Amino acid sequence: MAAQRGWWRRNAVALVALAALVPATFGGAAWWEWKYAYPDSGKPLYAVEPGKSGTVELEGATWGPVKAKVVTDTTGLDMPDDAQLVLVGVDVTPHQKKAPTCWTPTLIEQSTGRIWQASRLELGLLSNADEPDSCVPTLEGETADPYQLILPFVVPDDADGPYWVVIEPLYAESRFVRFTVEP
Amino acid sequence: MTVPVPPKRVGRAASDPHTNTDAGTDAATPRFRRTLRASLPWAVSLALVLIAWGITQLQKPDDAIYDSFVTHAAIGEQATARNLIATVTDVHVARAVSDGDDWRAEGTWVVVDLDAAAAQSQTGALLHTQLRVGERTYTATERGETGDNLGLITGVPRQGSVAFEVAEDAIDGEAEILLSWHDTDDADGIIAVAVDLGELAVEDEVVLDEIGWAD
Repeated sequence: MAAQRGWWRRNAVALVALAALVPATFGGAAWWEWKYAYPDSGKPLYAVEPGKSGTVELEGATWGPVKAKVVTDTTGLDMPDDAQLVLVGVDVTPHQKKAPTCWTPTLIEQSTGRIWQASRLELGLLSNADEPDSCVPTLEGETADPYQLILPFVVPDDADGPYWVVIEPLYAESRFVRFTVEP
Repeated sequence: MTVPVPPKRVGRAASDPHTNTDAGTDAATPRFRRTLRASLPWAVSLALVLIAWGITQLQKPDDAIYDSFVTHAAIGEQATARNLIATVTDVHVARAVSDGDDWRAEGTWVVVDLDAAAAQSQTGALLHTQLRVGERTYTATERGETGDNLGLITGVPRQGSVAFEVAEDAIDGEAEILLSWHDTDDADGIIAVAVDLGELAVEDEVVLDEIGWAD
């Protein structure tokens, strides 16, 4: 009796299962590889830029607004000739018990892609908890408070805006905060 | 049940003696042809072996892919190698070195004064230096306040000195100062500055340049 039914009929259940499992296998593997190569890579791939509010929501915190200016009065600072001091302030308002941590914030010249990090030590400034130049981690038993990142960048005189201010929070699935500033 | 006769084999076996006897218009030709035919594989094999040997002579070592891209410069000349812009401003040979503060050490020292900046990115940009004398490679001393691991600022040069404690016979001849912008220079740009240490006067003591912005 069974032999009288066609091959396709006899294997209908297996064929249906195969039709579901083969695409699922390839789809799953492709998705896994994509996830590994992109959002899980930790590379800064997806810039999140501020809207009209001037702020960005990412990793449980509000980043911004941002302020930037070229400091002309550098009295008391160890400033080199042929360079300018670009001072950037970024408000950070954590919404969760623990504030997000991040990689060292950077300033990027949009026209050339040159990258700077804050240069407190080189300017003769000691590390100061009131003027953090990197994300402030929340210690055990403490609750995160809003703070302002103070980022003094020493750039050569030939550097020119607009710049990007880039902050890469950890575990943000390759998303990062990017402000455009023109000091 | 018929086993087919392998036709090619029979044909080839039969054709060889056939052509040899048939084409033999004079006695030397078939023998010459046979020798030629027999020696051809040997000649080809020998040629292949020679070519293979030639390739091994041309081939670079396996780790050649990690070789640095070297920019050569003279003392006082600014050079750029990917993310590093640097100038060796002076080289000293001395019997003692001091950082002008707490640290002083006697020995055989080569002191290199330099300016350096990052060209493109400040991220992870720290000055690393080596001194190569013949087969020996020295790394800069980590003692004292030196320019070893100097933080490099993009486009804004900083200055300092690095000191190498070397063997007594190292200061007699040629040496090469190698500068890189991070701790591995695999397949990355480095700056090489040649110096004849034998030509330099041996100083009693050298004070290292203070770390700071370059003049």
